[in-house]
Amino acid sequence: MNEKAKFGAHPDAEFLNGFAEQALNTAERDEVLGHLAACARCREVVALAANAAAAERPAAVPWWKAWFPSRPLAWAPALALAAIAVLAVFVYVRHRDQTMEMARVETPVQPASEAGAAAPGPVTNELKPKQPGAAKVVSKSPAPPITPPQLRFGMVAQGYSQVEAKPNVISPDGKVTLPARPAVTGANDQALGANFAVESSQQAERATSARMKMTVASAEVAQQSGGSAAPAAAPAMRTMAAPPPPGSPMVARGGKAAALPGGLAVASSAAKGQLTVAIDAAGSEFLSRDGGVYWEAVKPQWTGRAVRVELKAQAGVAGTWFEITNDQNQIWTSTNGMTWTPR
Amino acid sequence: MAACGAECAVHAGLLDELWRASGAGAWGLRREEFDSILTTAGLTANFGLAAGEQADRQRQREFFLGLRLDDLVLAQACAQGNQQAWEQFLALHREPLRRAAIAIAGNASLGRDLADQLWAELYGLNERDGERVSPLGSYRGRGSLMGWLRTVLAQRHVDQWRRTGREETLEGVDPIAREAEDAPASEDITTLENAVGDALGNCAPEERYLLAAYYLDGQTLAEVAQVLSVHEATVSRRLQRTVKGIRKQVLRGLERQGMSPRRARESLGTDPRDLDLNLKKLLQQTESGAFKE
Repeated sequence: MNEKAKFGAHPDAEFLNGFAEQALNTAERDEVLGHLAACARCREVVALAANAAAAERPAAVPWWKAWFPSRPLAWAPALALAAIAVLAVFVYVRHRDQTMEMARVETPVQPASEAGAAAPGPVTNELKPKQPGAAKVVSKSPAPPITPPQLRFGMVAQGYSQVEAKPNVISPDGKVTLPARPAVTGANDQALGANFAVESSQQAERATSARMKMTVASAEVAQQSGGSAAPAAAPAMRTMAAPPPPGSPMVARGGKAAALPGGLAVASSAAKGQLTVAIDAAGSEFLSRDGGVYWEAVKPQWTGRAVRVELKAQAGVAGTWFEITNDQNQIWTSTNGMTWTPR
Repeated sequence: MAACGAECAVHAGLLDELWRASGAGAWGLRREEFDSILTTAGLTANFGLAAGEQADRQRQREFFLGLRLDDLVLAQACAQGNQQAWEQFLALHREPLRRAAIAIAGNASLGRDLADQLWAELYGLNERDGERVSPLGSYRGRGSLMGWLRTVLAQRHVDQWRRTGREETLEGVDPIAREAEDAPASEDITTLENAVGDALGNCAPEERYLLAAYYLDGQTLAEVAQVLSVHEATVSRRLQRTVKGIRKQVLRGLERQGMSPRRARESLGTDPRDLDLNLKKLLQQTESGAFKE
């Protein structure tokens, strides 16, 4: 260039600045570089000027910092709220999915229509006799038994939890009332609602017929024995689940008998210790050896229809015995409730 | 046409366009002054062409658009003593210049002194043949005016430091390398010296600059990178490549001078203190004579 010569030995400020600002062409840049390689003074000038220019420039901000304001704490409340909202949604969704999954997997309930089709024949439930010789209880039912699902932590089955928690109510006159199961209104859980629909339809059927009256055996025994019976023999038939409607199978839940196998109301009963004899409205006799938990039918050994059973005792005679009176006022006696002899 | 001979005319339409683009009228420059400044700048550089070549309108336009036109006009107006231009110049550059001076001098008081000296110089307190002379007249718009001012500040500072440094103390001054005493050198060492000299002489200007700045001046990679406007990792890579290339060239030079490859590699392990090499001199062997001292 024609200006270089007049600035003598060193390139002038124009060239050095042009070099630093990349404003020179390639040939000029190489010339300046060649001089800089040899000239400590010009290297120092260029380095100092570049340092001063760098001090003027604002510090480079990383791209991700440009997304945030200069005061990062200003975001903290909004971030905390957003985190809480996300967490709440996550917990809700997970809880709901878990509930639905458990309701689907652990409740093998078939719809009522399918249940009828799946059980064309009579269903036989065998209650294992506790003692040899005990008769088998055979009941016929058009519908299969329905077992409520086992409740576990995290389940939102309000109906189940409340019903299972509430005990049966015994009124002062000895009437047993089943707690009403609440209707399922949770529309947000359709799978669980479907299960409840099946269960509650049967429950409603039962509840309709199950406002049944049960005679508390202990009260009768106390009256019939004239107070001579030992107090220990009194509580023979205590809290007792309502018997299923006629024709339905005897449902054993947790090993407990729900009602007399015949499904009819108890007409009369008497107890001697854990040994309890009951007669239903049809005149059939049932015997329980464990205070009314398990019942077994006893083959009639009398004529006519049994209408009453009593526990008898007599002065001068050792022990007590049961007496069954039929509709013709004839009496049969038994000490074990199983074998009866006419008097 | 500008007020100049037909052979050096600047197209009037081009001057109109540049006048509108520069915005010089906003701070009070008259159109005639603007035309005069541009014409002088164009003719002085011959519009970027070699001497004797004629620039057409397109070439003139490219030349002017390649310049910092607003800075150029302002600097030239200041140099010509335009008061409004000077006020504009002060408003724009007083504070940046002061900060740059402090950064260059390394402390506030020295920096302020340096800036004040330059202000006086720029204002044209120096006179030559009865006329004010301002360094701003030498600004030709190749880079930014502020960059030019920083470079001038750095030149003044370095020159002053070197002058006073020589007067006061020798400490910190890089002494001129002495000629080595004529010690009897073995044949291998002489061969090695020749090979190193050749290898350094064949380096590209940028490679020589890197070696000088890094190894002689002791600048950091970041400082070198700042000057070259590249990342310091790039400087590091280029330095490694340069050193590797020099090593290869030295080996090749040794073999060319009759050494076996094994002996050549062994000779690279020679203690550098045994070598009679003046790296400064070797690096100063520039091919271009443009800026020879």
